[in-house]
Amino acid sequence: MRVKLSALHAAIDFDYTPEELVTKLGDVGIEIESTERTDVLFRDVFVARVMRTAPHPTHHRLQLIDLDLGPRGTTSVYTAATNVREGDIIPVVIPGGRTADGMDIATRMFGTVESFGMLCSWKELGLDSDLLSSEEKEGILHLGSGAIVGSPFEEAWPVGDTAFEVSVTPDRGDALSVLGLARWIEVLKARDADQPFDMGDIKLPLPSALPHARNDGDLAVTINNQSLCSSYIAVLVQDVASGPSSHAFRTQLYQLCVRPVSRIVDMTNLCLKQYGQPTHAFDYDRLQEHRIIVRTSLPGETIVTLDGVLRSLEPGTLVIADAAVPVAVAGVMGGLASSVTAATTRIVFEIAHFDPRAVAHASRHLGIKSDAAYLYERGTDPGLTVSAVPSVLSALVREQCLGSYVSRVASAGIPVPAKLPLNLGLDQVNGYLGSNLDATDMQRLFGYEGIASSVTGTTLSVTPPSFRGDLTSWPEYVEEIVRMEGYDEFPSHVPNLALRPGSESPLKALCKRLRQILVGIGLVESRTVSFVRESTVTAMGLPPAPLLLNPLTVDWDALRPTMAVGLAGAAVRNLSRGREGFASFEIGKTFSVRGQSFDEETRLGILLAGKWQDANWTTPAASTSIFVLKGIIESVLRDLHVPCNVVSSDSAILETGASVLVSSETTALGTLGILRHDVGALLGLERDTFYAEFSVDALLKSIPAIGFKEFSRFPSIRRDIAVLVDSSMTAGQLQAIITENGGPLLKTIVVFDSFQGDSLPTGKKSVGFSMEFASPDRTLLGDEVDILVSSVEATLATRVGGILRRTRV
Amino acid sequence: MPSTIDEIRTDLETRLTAARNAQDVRNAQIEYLGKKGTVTALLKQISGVAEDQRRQFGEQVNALKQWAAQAIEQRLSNLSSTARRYDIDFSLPGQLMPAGKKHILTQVEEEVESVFLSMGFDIEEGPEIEQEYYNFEALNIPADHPARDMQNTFYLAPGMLLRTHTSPIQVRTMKRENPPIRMIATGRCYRRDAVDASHTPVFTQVEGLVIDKSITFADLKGVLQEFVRGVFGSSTNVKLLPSFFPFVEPGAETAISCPICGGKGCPTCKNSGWIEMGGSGMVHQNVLREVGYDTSIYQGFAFGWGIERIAMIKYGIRDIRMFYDNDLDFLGQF
Repeated sequence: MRVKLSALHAAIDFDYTPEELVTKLGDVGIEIESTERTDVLFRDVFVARVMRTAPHPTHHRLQLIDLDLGPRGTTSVYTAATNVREGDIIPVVIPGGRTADGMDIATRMFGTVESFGMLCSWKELGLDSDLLSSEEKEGILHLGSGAIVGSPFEEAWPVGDTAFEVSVTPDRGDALSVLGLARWIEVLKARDADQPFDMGDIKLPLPSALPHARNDGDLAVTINNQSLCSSYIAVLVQDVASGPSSHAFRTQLYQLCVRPVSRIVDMTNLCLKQYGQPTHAFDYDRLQEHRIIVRTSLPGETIVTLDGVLRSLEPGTLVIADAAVPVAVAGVMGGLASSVTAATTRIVFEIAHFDPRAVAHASRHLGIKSDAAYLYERGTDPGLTVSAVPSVLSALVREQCLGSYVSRVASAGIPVPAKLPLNLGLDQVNGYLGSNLDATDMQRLFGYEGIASSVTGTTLSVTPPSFRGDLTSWPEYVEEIVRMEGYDEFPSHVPNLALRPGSESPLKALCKRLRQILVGIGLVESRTVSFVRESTVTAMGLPPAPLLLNPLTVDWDALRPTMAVGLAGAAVRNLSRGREGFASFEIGKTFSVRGQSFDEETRLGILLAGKWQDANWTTPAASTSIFVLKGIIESVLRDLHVPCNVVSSDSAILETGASVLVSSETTALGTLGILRHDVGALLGLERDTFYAEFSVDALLKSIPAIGFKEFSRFPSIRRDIAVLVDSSMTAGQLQAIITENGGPLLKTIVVFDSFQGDSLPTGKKSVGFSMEFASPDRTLLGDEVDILVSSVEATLATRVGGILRRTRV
Repeated sequence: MPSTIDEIRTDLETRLTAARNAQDVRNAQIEYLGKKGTVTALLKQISGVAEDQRRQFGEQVNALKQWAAQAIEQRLSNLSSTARRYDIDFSLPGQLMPAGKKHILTQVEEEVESVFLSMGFDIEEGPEIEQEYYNFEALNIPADHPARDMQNTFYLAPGMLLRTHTSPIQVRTMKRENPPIRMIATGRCYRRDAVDASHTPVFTQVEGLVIDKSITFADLKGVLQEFVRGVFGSSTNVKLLPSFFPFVEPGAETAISCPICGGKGCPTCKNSGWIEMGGSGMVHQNVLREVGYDTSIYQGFAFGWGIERIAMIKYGIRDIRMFYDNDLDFLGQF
């Protein structure tokens, strides 16, 4: 909400500087998001009345304007403006003066005649164009008849002010008006002076007596749902004269940061901004039987709202109806059929108190956001404003000469619903706050806010003012104590809690461990957004991803079913900026659709592209490869003691023949391989990309319990062999044969070499194994190891081929 | 000045042993064997010694001179051979090792978690796709409440949404367990906010909850104080300001003394000396009632802060988008 300092000063006397006000309001929970000071930048601008206009003798575009400056005499200026007529009240800057945009004004010759000054538009005056009507922004500014001719412009228009942008939390509906802010300023004053809140300090007119109310045939109000509408007052105004608001009214709107529209709209806007009370104007003659009925909508009822949209009403929506149909959605928006038009001569103003939830529900259901609904949702004052605003409105009607006659006020409902007192135990409060306040302290603090209280023993009975709809339960009163004492005045204390270690879930612990292992290997962790584009997921050949009903952009309309998209994005970003490699992982949730529901799973994605390590003078550059990726996975699984095996994978996003599914003894853990080239291209990756994705949930289930195993403390003996076999044999098959035949002393087998081509026969390949033998209880002899190796060689020879080479180490 | 031949010998021996380089040895050579050297001076004295002692003295001095020359040569040779063996250009870079790095948000998250683990808090988790009930209703944010406007929400289906905060984990924990509760939850949250320097639709929160028989507002302040000191350093202070969050009452915005300027005022704290970090307050009675706790026995506090915000303040990062760009030049800095 935007409001100017002058409007606040008009509502209450205070001598805080704007900066102090911002701090002090912030201390009680009303945040001023920004302040904007405007200075008077012009000089010698006066209010003038146009006495005569005449064309310039030679310049047909110019007019000679004779001006009356009241006590300052008369003058004449030439102007090219076309919106100046006899009798207009307009601002003029005289020779020696200066405009807000910095132009110094002197007597100037137009042909053969002199011009003594310049007429001003809003630009020369430095006015806030957001707060002017479209008419006010065209050509020379017109002041209303209320402006005093000859007076300095700064006396006729509220220039030189500070605008505040007030940000109000949803519970602070009571601060959404000038009256509301004035009440909080009164609270600040009361607290500073250690005196009770005094509503009498508020200078806004707040008549408490309703004008004479009569419910008769001319205008009858009925409330059918008292629980949703506690009171409804209708003010009938006859002989309505249309047109713009008076000068005084417009300057008031300027201070309230309300743009003028028309007399009727301006009046409703003033009530809203000044008092926080929404009002609505109906055309009396378009209300069937001149009746107003507050009721809930019936099945099948519709309304065309002021914005011209036909809306079907959910049965049970709170509406204002005439004798036949709904004419407004209560507190949200009026209907077009009953709205005020140029032909309107009789108006009914509505001042009502609606249930916040009823208005909020209708507003959300219909998708209408209006200023009125915004206020009603946050709670309006069922007391003061509902009783005062009709009188204020009636006074405004007279002041604005809107109609000749305020004829009827019809009302229904209870004007001020009684607020019940609430009991508050002293121990209850202190036990909640960890404080040591006595009854006197609490009464004093409540007093600053106008909360009535009385003490009986150790219990306080408290009653809120009608504008504090937020005070309904005891913790809310506790909050007021904190607010008034000052949040920072309360003690700080370390809770008396039992000593014990904190715990985290095994999954969380595993995620931490995985990160630690992967970072140790040399991978960088990425964190990418969880959103992907649905069409990308489809093009990748993955099952449908969960879709957002209200995505922020089409690029982010689904939840990621894989970590690949985000990691690829991170890779592209880095590679496109000249990096030659990207090796990264991410651990996070992936999402899938399961029937009518959704699943989420914690996964680890690893993506390698380009160089794995830069060259330097000690080592050549190392490129990432499928075996670098497999090595990373093997290292991780070895660290976690998860035994694994691989079979070919049917992963949608990996190349066939270049990808495997990795499983523990019981569970599929994940896949690794070369990212399908078309998928890579789709994601913007130009080169071979190696990608692995593992389920952390599955890994967790596969981690065995570990315990100590006896190991050999004697020297081991190593033997290397190389086997020439058919190319179709896999290293894994050969290794299985070696393991099977190596006996219990065979400790480790490492593939040290694998090649084909060159000197080797076609269809053959050579695979080299390094075997390490050790005994748990003695030093082995070379001869006994050789016997074992020979046995392995013999088996390999008979089962798969001949031995190429044998090396002793 | 050493007076006897033995003393001179001992002194020179010490000098040579202490010599770090050839220059030190040469300096010693000049001092002992140079024109004005100690040994040279002795040689000059020979002719002046009484005849009966001259011969003996002369032999001793000459022996000293011979020994000194030899010792100096020996030391020089030792030093030069050492230098030849280890003449390394240490300006050359070492062999590169792959440099892995945890994401900065992970680092901050783990730091926050370790502070709370050390205070006996359990770390709880919950789903990112959440039921509207846990995200809103159970937290005293009924449908149609204007507080819903505070958190722009992504929906997947009617009643199913992406959690807008980690607070539903509070509800799930309280429904599962009886007090006392001492927990935090860290995790990814989602809000339908347009992307700019201070908003991303994906962000990370840390949520805390303590419920027991006599937990007070003062305890909230005490725990936040410890947390802040643990993460930002022991001189950081906490200040509470009135604010509104539907699931707490009284509700507070938590500010910390600006760790960048120490509270003196700088651009980061907009010259106020304080930086707002997140919400906190005493858990609303409606929330406790909703999970079935007896509000006449149990009470407690909760807080929720942004991990990105903590990282931004701690490291002076100005743009939240950087966390999700994963630029190696950014990630490598922390």
